[in-house]
Amino acid sequence: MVSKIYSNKIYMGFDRFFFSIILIFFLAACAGIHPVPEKETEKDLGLPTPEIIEKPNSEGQAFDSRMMASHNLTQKGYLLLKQNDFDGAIRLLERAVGINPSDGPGYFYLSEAWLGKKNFNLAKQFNGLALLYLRSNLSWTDRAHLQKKRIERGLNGL
Amino acid sequence: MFSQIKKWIFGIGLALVLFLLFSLTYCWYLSGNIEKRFSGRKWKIPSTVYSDTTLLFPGKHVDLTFIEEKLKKLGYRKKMAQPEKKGEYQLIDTGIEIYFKDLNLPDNIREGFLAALDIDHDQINNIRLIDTDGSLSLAELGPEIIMQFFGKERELRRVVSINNIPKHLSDAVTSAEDSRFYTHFGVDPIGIIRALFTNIRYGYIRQGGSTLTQQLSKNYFLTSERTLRRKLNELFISVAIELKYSKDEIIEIYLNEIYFGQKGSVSINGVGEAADFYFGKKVENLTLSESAVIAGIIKGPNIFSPYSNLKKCTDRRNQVLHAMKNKQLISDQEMEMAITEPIKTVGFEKYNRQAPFFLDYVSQQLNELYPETSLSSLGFSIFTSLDTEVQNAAEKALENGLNRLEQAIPAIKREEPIQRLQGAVVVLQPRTGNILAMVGGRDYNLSQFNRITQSRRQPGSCIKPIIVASFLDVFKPSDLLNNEEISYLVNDKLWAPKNFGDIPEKQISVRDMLRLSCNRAAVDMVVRGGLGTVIDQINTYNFSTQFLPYPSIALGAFEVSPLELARAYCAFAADGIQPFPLSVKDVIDENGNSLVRRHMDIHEVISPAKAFLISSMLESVVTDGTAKSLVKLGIDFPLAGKTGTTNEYKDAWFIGYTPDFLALVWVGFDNGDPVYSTGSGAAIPIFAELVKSMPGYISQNTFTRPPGVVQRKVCKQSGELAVFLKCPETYDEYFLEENKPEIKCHIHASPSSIKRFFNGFKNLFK
Repeated sequence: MVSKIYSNKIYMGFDRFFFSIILIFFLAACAGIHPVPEKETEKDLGLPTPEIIEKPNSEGQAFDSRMMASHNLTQKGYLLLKQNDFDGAIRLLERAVGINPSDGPGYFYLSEAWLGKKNFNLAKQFNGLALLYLRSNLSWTDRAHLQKKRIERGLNGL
Repeated sequence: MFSQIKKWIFGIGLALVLFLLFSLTYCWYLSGNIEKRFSGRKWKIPSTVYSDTTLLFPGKHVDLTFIEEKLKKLGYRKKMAQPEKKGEYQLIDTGIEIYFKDLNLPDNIREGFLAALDIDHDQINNIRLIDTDGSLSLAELGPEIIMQFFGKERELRRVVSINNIPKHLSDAVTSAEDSRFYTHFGVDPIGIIRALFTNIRYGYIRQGGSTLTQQLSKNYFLTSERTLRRKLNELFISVAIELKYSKDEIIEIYLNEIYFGQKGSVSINGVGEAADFYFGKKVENLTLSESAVIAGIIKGPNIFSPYSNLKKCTDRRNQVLHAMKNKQLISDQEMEMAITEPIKTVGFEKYNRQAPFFLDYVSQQLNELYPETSLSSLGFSIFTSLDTEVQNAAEKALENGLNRLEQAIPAIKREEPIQRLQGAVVVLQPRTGNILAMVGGRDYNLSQFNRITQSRRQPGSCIKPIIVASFLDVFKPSDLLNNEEISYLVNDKLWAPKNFGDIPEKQISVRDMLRLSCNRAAVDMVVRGGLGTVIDQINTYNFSTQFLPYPSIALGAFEVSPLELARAYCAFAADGIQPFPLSVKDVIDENGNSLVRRHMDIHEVISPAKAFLISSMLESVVTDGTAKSLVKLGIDFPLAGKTGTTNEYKDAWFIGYTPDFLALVWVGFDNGDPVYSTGSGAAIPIFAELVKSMPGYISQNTFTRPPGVVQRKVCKQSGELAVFLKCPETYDEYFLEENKPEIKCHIHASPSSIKRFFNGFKNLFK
C-alpha cells in the first residue's frame, strides 16, 4: 500500500516535470528580447555579507579568537552600512581592523563606507588594503576589484 | 481724635497700597530677569573627557589585577557572591564574573548583562553568558573619565528632567525641606512663625523657615550673606518665581541646583549627580530608602553624607521617611521596609587628573574648535583614543627606567629637579593612528613641556630604516655596502663618519647595516643612492622638518618631532600606510548630537612590499642586532625595532612595533647633556617594561608577506644568489619581485667542468 502511493507520487512528479519543460519552451518562444542587466557594481547586487576570511599564515587559537572578535565588529559595521549610517559603520570597522589588522572584509566595508561618503581618496586607500588582505579568496577579490572600478569612476568624476 | 485715627488708617492704607504697588512692580521687574535667566542656560556643565573603551575578547592577554582596577575605576563594586546588579563583579576560581553596566556611547548603546570571563594563563579563554550559558566573542567595558573642564565653580552636575525623577524622591525632598511646598506662594508664613517659636524656645537657630523656592532664590540669584536686604530680595524673588513658574518647574530646577557634598575639590550638585555619586545609579532607579538619604543630605551635606557619618545619615533618612509617612505619602509598610534597608554607597575616587600630557594635547586641539568658556559650561562629552592601561604602563615604565639609569650612571644625576634626566613615551596603534598613551616628560608638575609633541631632537640611527626604504628600488637587502673609513667633502670640510661599536667587516649587507646600525655603511648607501632621492622620499613621511641634502642625513643629524618619527614608523608596521595620529575621536553635546567625529585618516607612503622588507630587516635588529637585549628582558613575541643614539650620547631612542602597536621611547636631557648610554642601554629597558604591562596588545601576529615579495637564498659573502653546495655561508632573504638578485654568486659560482677537472688535477700536485 505504501509503495503504491509512493509510485503514484513519482508518476505525478514526472508528469509535472514534462509539463514544465514544455511550458518553458513555449514561453521562451513567445518572449521578446530583453536586455540583461549589467552585473557591474556591488551596489546593484547589494553588499556581500561579511564572512570570516582565513588569514594567510594564521596560527593558533588566540589569533582565531582575535579574528572572531573583529568579525563581530565587522558584522555590526556591515549592518550600519546597510542602513547608510556611514559614520557609525566607520567607527565600528576601525575598531575591527584595530583588533585584527588583517581583517580584509573590514577594509572592504571601510572602503564602501567612504564611497558612501563620497571620499574617493580614502575609499581607494582602504580598497588597496582590502585587495591585499582578501587576495586568497577569489570571490572577495572580485568584489574588491569591482569596488576599485567604482572608486576609479568616482575619482574621475563619472 | 477720630480724625487722627482716620488719618492714621488712611496713612497706613496708603502705605500698604504703595507697598503693594512697589512689590508688584518689583516682582514684575524681577520676573523679567528670572525669565531671562531661566529661559537660557541654567547651569554651567563641565565638558568631560573620556578614555577609549576596553574591548575584551577570547584570546586577549589580560592581567586580572588590571581588570579589577579598571572595574573599580569605572565604579563597579566587588561582591563575595554572584553579582545581582549592574556594576557588580566577583572573582571566581576560573576568572571573574561581571555584571556589565549599560553602555551609552556615540556608536554603541547596550544594555548591561551578566557574564563570566574565564581566564587561563593570563588569557581570556571564554566570555560566558551566565543566564543563557552562551558565549560572546566580544565584550566592552565603558570609558573612564580622564578629565573635566571645570570653570571657576568646579561643580559636577548632570541635569535630569522632572519626568525622570521618581515621585518618592521629590516627595522625600518636600517632606524634608518644605512640607507645604505645593500650597504656599513661595513664602510660607506658617513655617516662618513655627521656626520663630522653635528658635525662641531653644534659644538658638534650630529651624529655618525657608521654602524650597526661597532656597532656590538664594542659591541661584543671591549670595549667602545674612542681611535684611538680601532676605527681602529673597522673598520678592521667591514670589516672582512662583508667579511665573509652575510647582513642577520650580522643583525640577531646585532638584538640579541644590548642593549635595564634595568629591575632593569638586562639588556635587543636583539629584542626578548625587544619585550617581552616592549610589552609582541613575536617578530614576533610586529606591525609596536611597531617595530619603538624598533628601536628608540637603540639610547638611557634610554632616549627613553616608561617606562622612553613616549613623547620622541613617537617623536623618529615618526622619525623612517618618515625615513622608506622616504626610501619608508612603504607607507604614513602605516606611518599615525602607528603614530596614541598609545604606549601600558605591564609593568614589577623588577627581584625579590622569595622562596630563595627553590631555594638554587634546585640550590644544579642542581649544582650536571651542573657547574655554564653552568647554567649561556646555557639558560636551569628548571621547578620546587613550587606553588607560597603556598610559599607566608607560608612565610607570618611564619613571622606573629613568630612576634605574640614574642609579647605574651617577654622572647623569642632577640635584635640581627641573634639570633631571628626562624621557618621553608615545604608544600608537599603527593601523588606525590611535594614540594609546603619551608621556611627554618625567614629572608634569615640574615641567609641562611635552617632549613628544613639542620637542625636536635628532633621531640618530632611528632614521636609517626610512633611508633604506628610500632606496629599495636600487639596493637589495643583500647588497653589500662599504664599511671602510671614508672621508667625505661636505661644505669644503672633510667629514668621516664613525661607527658606534666595532664592526670589523669591510662590507656588510643592507640588512646587517640596519641590524648592527652601521654608520659608515648607511652613509655609503646615501651617497651611492643619491641625496636627492632621500630628500624626496623622506618628505613623503610628513615630517615638518626642512631636510637638507647632506650625507649626515643617513645618521639622523637633523631634528624631528618624536610624534612625527613614530608616525613615520607606522608605515612600516601597517603595509606602507601612514595614519594621522588620532587623539580626539568624538565630541558630543549634552543632547547627544555629534559635533566632531574624527575617523582614521590614512595614505600610502610606501608599497606594502617595501614595508614588509623593512619590518623583516628590523626584526633582525631585535633577534640578533642592537636590540637583542629585548629577548633577555622577556620579549618573546615577534617584534621589529630600531635603536638610536646621537652624537655625544645626547639622545637615546628605541622604536619597536608589531602589527598591533608601536611604541617610541626617548631618553635625554632638555639641555642636551650626555646620557652616557645608548638607545639599547637607556631606552630598551623602558620599552620592555612598558610592553610587558600592556598584555592586551600582545599577540603572535606577524607581518604578513604581501604580493611582490620573493624569497631567495643568497651568499653572505657576495650578497648574490647562492650556489648550491658551493657558497659556504648562505641565508634566506626577502626581495622585491622587481628588484631581486638575478646573478649567481661570482665568488663561489662553479667554473666549467673541464676547468674544475684541471683545477682538481693541479691540486693533487700542490
